[in-house]
Amino acid sequence: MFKRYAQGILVGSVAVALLLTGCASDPQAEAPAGEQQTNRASATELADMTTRGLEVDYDRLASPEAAVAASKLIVRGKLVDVVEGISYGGAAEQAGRANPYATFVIETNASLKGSEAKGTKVYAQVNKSSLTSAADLAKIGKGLDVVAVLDDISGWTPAPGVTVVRPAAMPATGPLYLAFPDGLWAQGVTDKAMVGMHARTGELAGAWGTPQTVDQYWTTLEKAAG
Amino acid sequence: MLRTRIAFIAVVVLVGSLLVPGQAMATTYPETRLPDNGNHDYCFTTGFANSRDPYTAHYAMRTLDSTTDMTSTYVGACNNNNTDIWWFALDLAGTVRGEWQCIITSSTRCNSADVRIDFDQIDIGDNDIADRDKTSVHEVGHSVGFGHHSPAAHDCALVSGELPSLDIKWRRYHAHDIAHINATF
Repeated sequence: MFKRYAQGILVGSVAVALLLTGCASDPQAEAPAGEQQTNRASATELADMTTRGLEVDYDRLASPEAAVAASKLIVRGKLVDVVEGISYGGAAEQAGRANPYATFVIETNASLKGSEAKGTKVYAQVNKSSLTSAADLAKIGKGLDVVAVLDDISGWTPAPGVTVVRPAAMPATGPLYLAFPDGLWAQGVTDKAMVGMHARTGELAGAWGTPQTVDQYWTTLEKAAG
Repeated sequence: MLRTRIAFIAVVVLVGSLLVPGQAMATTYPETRLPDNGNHDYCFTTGFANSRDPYTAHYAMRTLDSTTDMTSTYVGACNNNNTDIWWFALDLAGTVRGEWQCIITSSTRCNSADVRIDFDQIDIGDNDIADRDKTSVHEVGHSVGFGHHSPAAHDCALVSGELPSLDIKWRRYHAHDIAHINATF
């Protein structure tokens, strides 16, 4: 009797060990895990599509205070559209073989830095996959609640001889805002937590206090902004 | 006696599974798009060839070649859209240090990608050369199916941001990652 019990322990232990050490790869499935789509319109799906075939390595905003200091504008609002991003002119071939940006159009509800009035539209450049279109992102992203920590990249150019061309769908003058890779978070009614377009909530540990929702993220930034 | 032996083996299996570093945490694979085949050829754009450290790309490609079953081939100047990786040296906007972008797909796989490196951003902080190498290995890692799973899953080059230390593990793929590659190519 006890022999059978001990054998059960051994089998169970091996099973647990396999779970702990096992790989999740499925040799039959070649689609990346992040690209498996659902039919729900959500921030999760928007992030999946925004980063399909694109990964960025970036220096993090180390704390809410650092985010406030580094940014030129911080807004909270609704994502009302996604349109084409900036493109390159001049020696454009020096900067890459595809346009890596989309423009997220955010209708402002509140701002921390800067002085965007409620209802103002803010146009933010966001690193975007070349495998998905801005129109596709707009279809699934409109209406999401977003917080955007933005830098002003007016005058920036990626390489000598390359010019930056604004898309027709955004104002021809004024600041050219870029969302920090870990400074753009969205949440829809189907999302249990906020979703970063390039970052994960696990990155907001330590000084950030592990915010899980756009409400919490915004409150954290509000406190840092004083 | 038999009971004791079986119980002992069970404990050893469990404890061993927790202690073996190469198997500590599972990761999904692929996390990004897989390349089209097991040979990664790469080229330099003019800007990258004239950058402050084109060797970092060779370092990353040789790391892939020497630590996995994949191979790498340098083809010189970029002029063929089927070359697996086109290397660029740019001033990337904002806080971006490097990026991998699949440009041309072949079914579910990536036929050709851009890797763009921002040396000025990487060189903020210490250990610049090692940090460039970490970033290059990191971007090549994306091109063979890895996402940002470090340090959540294990310590390896797929960590974001500044090089954590000069420990070589931050410029290498983890044994778990290598097993995924070798099982695929």
